Amino acid sequence: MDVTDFDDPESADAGPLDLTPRTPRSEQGSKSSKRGAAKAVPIVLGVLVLGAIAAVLVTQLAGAATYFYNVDDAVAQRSEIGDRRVRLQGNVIKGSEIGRTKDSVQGYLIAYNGVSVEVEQSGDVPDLFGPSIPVVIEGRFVGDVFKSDRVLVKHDETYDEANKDRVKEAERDAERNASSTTVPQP
Amino acid sequence: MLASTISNEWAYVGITWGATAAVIGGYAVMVLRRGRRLSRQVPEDQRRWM
Amino acid sequence: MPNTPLAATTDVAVAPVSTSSRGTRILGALTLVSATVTILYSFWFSKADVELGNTVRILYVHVPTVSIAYLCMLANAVFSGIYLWKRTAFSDLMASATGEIGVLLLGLTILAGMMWGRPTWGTYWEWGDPRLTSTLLLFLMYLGYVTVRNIPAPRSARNTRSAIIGIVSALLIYPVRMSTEWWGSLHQGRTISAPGASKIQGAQEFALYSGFFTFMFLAAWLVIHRFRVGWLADQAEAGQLESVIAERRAESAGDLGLGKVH
Repeated sequence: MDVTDFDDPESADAGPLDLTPRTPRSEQGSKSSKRGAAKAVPIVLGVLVLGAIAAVLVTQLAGAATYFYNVDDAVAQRSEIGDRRVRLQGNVIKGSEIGRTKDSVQGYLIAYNGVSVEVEQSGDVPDLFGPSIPVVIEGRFVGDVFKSDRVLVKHDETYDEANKDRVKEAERDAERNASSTTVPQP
Repeated sequence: MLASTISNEWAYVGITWGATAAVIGGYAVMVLRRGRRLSRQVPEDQRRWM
Repeated sequence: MPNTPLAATTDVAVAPVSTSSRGTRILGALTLVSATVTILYSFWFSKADVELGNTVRILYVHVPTVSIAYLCMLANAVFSGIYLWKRTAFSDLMASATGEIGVLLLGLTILAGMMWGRPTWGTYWEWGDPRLTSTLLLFLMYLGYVTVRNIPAPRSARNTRSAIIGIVSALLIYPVRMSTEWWGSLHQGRTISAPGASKIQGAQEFALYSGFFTFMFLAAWLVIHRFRVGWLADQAEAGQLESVIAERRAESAGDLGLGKVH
C-alpha cells in the first residue's frame, strides 16, 4: 500500500512522457483534436476576416466609378472628370480615321449613344482596330479633344462564321452603327 | 503580311489547346499514379469501389 | 485530348490496385468520345469568325472550362456545408476533389483568356478590369483552399478550415459572373443567355455545347479519381498512426511493467 502511494506521485512528477503510453487511444484522439480546434480558431478568424475584406472590396467596387465611361457619360460629366486619366468606351466612327497605318492611327471620332468625341491617338493600335469596332481608350481630355496613348479593342458577345451569310453581316453592321454612331459624319 | 497574321493567330490557338491538354493530362496521370501507390498501403477491404 | 490518362485507366482494368472502377471507365470513354466531337467541331466543322478569325477557337476551351470550374466550386461549397453539418468523410473528400479540379479548370480559363486577349483586345492582361481582377481573386482564394488542405494538421481541423474557406470563396462567384454588367469591363457579356436568344449559331454554337459536355465528363471522371485518392491517403495515414500508437504502447508497457494496471 505504502509503496504504491509513493509510486503514484513520482510517476506524475516524471512528466507526461511516462503517462502517454498508458492513456487509452480514444482519449488521446479527443485531446489532440481539441488542441487542433484551439489552434484552428485564429486561422478560422483569419479566413473570416479575409472573406470580409473580399466582401468590402466588392461592395466598394460596386459603389465606385465604373471601369470606363461611355462616351456620352464622359461628355456629360466632362467638368467633373477634368484632366484626370480615364478610360472611354465607344465605337470608332466609320470614315473618321486619320493617318491610319498598320500599327497606328493619328486620330478618329469615337461615339456612343449618339454623342461623339474627337480622339488624338498615340501608341500601338491592335490588329482588330477599325471602323465600327467598339474600343476602350485610356488618356485625358485636353479641351474637347481626348488625348489617348492606349487603345484596346472591346469585342462584343456576338460571333458569326466567316463568309456564311453576307446579308446577316451587313445587317449587323447597320444595326451597330444605328445604335451607337448616329452622329453626322464629318 | 497575311501569312504572318495567320501563323500568329494559330500560335495563340495552339498554345491554348496544347496547354489545356498537357495540364489536364499531367494532372490525371499524377492522380492515377498516386492512387496506385496509395492502394498498396491500404488493406483491400478499405478500397472497394462501387 | 486526355488520351494518356484514359489509356492508362483501361490498362489497369483488371488490376485491383488502382482508383479505377467500371464507372470511371465508362465516364472515361464518354469523355474521349465527347472530346473527339468537340475537337472536330472546333477545328473542322466550324469556320473562322467574321471578326476574330481563328482565335474564336480559343473560346471553345475558355467558355466550357470556366462554366465547369464554377460548377466544381459550387459543388465544393455544397459539400463543405454538408461537412460542417454532418462531419462525414465523404463530404469532406468530395469538397476537396471538386475544389482542386475547380481551381485547375479556372487556371486554364485564365490562360485561354490571355491567349485570346492578346490578339483581340491587344493585351494579355488588363489590371483594374473588374472581370479580370475578380477572376484572379477567385483563383487565388481556391489556390488558398488547396494550400490549406495540404498543410499538415489534425484531420478535423484541416477539414473545418478548408470547408470555411470553400464556402467563403464560393460567395465570390456571383460578383465575378456579374462583373461585366455591374462595373463595365473590357470583357464581353454573356453570349449564351436564354435558348434561342444566343448570340452564336450553327457549328460555332455546337462546338461550345460539345465543349461543355466534354469538360463535364472530364471533371466528373477526375473528381471520382481524386476523391478515391483522398480517401486512400486518409486511410493510409490512419493506418500508420494506429501502428505507431500500438508500437509505443507495447514498448512503454514492457519497460515500466505497468501494462497490467489498466
